[in-house]
Amino acid sequence: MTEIPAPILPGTDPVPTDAVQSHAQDVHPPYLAHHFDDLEQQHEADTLGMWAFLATEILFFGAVLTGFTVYRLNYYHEFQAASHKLLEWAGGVNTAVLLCSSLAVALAVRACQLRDRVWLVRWLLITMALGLVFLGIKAFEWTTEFREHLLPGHGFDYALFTPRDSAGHAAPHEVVLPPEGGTGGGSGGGAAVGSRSPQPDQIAAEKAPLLSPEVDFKPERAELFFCFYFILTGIHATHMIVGLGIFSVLTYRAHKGYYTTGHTNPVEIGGLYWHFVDIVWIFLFPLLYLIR
Amino acid sequence: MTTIPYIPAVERESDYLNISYRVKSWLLTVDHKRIAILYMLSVTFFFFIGGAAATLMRLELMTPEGDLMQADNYNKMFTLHGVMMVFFFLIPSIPAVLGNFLVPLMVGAKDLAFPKLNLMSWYLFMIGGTITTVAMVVGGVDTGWTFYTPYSSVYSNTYVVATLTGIFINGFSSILTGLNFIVTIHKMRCPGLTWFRLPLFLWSMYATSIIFVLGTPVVAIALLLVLIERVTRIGIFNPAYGGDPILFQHLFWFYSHPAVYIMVLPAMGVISEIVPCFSRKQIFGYSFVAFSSVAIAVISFLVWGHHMFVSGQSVYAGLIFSILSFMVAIPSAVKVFNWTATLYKGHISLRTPMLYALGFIGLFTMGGLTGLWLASIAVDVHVTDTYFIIAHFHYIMVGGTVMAYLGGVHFWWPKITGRMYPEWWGRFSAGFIFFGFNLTFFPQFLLGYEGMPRRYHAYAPEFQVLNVMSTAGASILAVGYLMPLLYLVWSLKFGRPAGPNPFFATGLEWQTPSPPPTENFPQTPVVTQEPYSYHLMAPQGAARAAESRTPSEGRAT
Repeated sequence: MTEIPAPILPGTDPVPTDAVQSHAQDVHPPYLAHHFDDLEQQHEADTLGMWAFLATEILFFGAVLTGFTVYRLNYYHEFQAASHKLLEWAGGVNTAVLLCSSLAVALAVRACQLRDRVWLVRWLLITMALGLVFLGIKAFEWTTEFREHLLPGHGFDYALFTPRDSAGHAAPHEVVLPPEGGTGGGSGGGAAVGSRSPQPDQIAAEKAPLLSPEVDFKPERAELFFCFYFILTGIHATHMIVGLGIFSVLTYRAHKGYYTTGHTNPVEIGGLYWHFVDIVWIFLFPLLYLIR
Repeated sequence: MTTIPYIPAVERESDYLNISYRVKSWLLTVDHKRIAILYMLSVTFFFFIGGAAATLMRLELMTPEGDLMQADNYNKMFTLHGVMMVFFFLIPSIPAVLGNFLVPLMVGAKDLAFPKLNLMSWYLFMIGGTITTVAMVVGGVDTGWTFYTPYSSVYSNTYVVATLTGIFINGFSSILTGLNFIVTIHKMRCPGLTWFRLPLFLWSMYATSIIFVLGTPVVAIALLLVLIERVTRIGIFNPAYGGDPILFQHLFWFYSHPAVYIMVLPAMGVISEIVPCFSRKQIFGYSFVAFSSVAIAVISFLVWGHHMFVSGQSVYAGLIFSILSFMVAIPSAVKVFNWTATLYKGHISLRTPMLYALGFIGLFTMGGLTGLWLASIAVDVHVTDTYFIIAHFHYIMVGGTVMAYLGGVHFWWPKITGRMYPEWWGRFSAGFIFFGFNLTFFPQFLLGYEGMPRRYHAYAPEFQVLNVMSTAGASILAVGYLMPLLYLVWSLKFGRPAGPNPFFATGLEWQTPSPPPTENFPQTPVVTQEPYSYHLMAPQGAARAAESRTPSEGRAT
């Protein structure tokens, strides 16, 4: 009779909590998932999985940035004026905060690989603290913008972006609301490509901007900038919050000692995610704040 | 230590189906095979919802007047049909059902790389599908599945937000499935299974997964922006506020064109498995077919503008998209030629899967050739937004993907369930479906060419004859789809029990019992041969093929 090895019954955990099981004489640590052959395969699969996920995130942000770029190229002056309204210093501080947090993550990964539990937990906590600082500054920025009526929608203050003549009188500008079944009165897309519109304080008062091609500065396009600003920073902040959630789980488990027995994967992969969120901000900051 | 002979206590070995009958073991499973079955039930459900909408549409179109329903309701019907069929049936069908079941088996692994992510994928699919179905039932959406702005984002008074939420959530299901497949195929191949020994189904799934991972986020954003524009009063796509409606079309079609390749690439993979088996011949030009899958995935990202020839993009851009669309047909044609060469001088048996595969080759070719017509800008300007377009994509999606899906379900049914389907019913249904399909959709080519516009519930009286033919075909098609549903369910209880390899096919999935045990293989297989080595098999020599793959398996069937 041929000897048949005992089948692995699914639903039961064949691996006891001690690290070693004499199953084909392999070392079978508890953190090796049953469907992987060995730790190396698990490590490579997890890492490739995270890189593939980050590729999807690149396309995700890339789509919004594509839309943003189209409007940035076509409505250059409105976007420039709108960008001036953002708090540059807050964006700059946030950039520094995130870069430091990426450093903290890298040091956390290093501590993990060196099996230094104390410093692993500390660096993870520092990362999370910096992340919270980032979100705090972001919240401050958003509330400031809300108070200044820069939130797109009903409260938006068009007067901030209405062209004025040399005497300071605002050009009467009609925002044509969409009627029941017709199209709005806007000039559609892209009329200002390449044309050199004069700065807002040089524009003479005009009753109907449509009639004069060299005067093509519309406040609702500035509103469009803020729309993209809030969408981009909002999606980025959502990713930060998710990252904070992941890191709090990582920190707790690191404190329990899960990641200082050679199982560095989760920390490395969490670090990759955090670095990605940081890189996205590095793109967003100049694109949104530094339009000059 | 003495060796105690292993005497099984029960007659039937444990497989993934009978390991547990509890509901919780199904709803919390991480076994890719069970998740595939869950998907199979869900996509079938959504298929019949979409089919019901199509039935109502074709009933309306029997007469030139709009007498069965009002225009608004007809708009809701075709939107329901499109949304359900595209997002909740065609895109998940072969990847999530056959892919989930077969990818680990074909690479010789115990499961996919991320089993829990796989389960989450299914739950996201169900949540998205439920939200969208509820939105459709409580009032529906009338924008068309394409959600063109600014109608969808500003003017429509229907449940756009709920529908888009459901589709958005569903997108993550696709992304996670694609991610899982990519990592599994890269990292979990069994010893000896090099890239060029992979079955072509896996090459197709790999290419499909690339599209899932790179394309789906873009449509997620496009729909999210429409959602935001609808909820707030800002003009991302609304011209009244400086927005650009064509931007939406670019973002939407950047995904939705590769999406149609998500629908057809897995179907081609299924055909590449069926044709060699039932020709008893090695596939002709393996590496060409493998590379063509990747080429289709890459080039498919470059052709989206051919959906926008009349939308206002520049003629120059139109020309570029036109030439690229011609180029994307080349790898598809490569596959068709290779399948044909595989058939040539093969020992062909017309079993049910083969009938579906042959139907696929013919109908996909027709759909693809009419696609070349449409890639020519001048022809497209004439027939755009007519029934010609509808006929074109239904030839590929229904004549292609649905038939390949049914063919694959029949081919792997013994492996999935351990039972054979009834062969004569299978062949009869395949023929029935083929006939019904052609009667439904061929007249639509003529209708479109003569000028009948799409998405209209009423039409000029001279189009009635062809419309009646189309509706008659649709009723035959409906009966044709009902038959497999009935006899496949019947076979679960009364079908002939199948052995591990009833078709004497090559492939690792056939080297394990039917249905497979939960861990797939008793021992990790080792691959030493090229794929599709039918020429090394004696006629119906399954044993020789089995011996050269795995150590002798102890389980009898």
